[in-house]
Amino acid sequence: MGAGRSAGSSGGRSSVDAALDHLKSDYPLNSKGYFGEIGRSGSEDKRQINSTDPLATFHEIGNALIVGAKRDDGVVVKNGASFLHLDGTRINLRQPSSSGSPAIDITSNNAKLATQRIHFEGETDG
Amino acid sequence: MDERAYNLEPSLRGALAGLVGERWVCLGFTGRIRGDVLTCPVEIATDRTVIAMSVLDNEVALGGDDEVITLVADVPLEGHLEEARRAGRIAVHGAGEVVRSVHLIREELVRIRDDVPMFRVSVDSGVVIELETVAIAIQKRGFHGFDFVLSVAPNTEQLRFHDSASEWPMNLELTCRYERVLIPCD
Repeated sequence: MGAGRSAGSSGGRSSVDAALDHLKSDYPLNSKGYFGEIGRSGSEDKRQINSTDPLATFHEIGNALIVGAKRDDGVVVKNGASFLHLDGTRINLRQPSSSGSPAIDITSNNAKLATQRIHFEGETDG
Repeated sequence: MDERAYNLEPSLRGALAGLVGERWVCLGFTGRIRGDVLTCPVEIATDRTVIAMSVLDNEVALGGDDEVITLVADVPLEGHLEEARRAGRIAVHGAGEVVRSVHLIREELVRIRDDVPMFRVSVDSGVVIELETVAIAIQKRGFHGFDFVLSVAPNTEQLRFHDSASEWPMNLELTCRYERVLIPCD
């Protein structure tokens, strides 16, 4: 569950597909269309990506996901901004989210990508 | 169990109820249209009333995680309808017909872990407007969504609603119970 409908763009590869292709070597989606690992709550749509520099990782993934999307100033996102792709997929970037870490909210209209929230956290020593 | 209810503000509910008996003009889309997805705001226009509805951000702590449960609210008009008309971004289904009824779309979800309810969230996510020969649903795109989804049909029974439960993944441990009801707006 959670993956959106197929892209609504008029044929060819959508901007979301292009973004996913760009990210797939470093940040691949799992088979259900989610980035990273399941977060603390255990809910599959709440994701977590750990790195030594969470803010840099947030910017890297966020910047890739909004290529080809238009900023939508009709939506007010606390501590962030909202971007809309041609297929209806919406990407919200927050820095910080209410939990304190940067977050990306994805409402997907793309069959490969699930609707999800991704938090970016620092790596903890094992 | 954590319980949250996000009902429409009484002023918006009252304004929507006041549409009954008025003559329908159009919906105006001042943002972008992506298939059946409409960005905010959406304007509802009759011969006597114009209401602009939008979706507001709302981060909340629920079930041990932070969630975004967006809210439907009215926003200032700011001449958007004229802009939408000029751009041709309007839906005129049922234009000239009398508004017969208005219902709120209320969606409720109970998140359940290992058969134990974790939280319940109830949201007024949109409105169904019934004209003489047409029914129109304007529904927020899910509990987390920042857009509206439009459905138009000959009657309420044939409207297609967004499946808001689909954004809550389920597994052996986590499930949910979902209900959508239409509540007369009066």
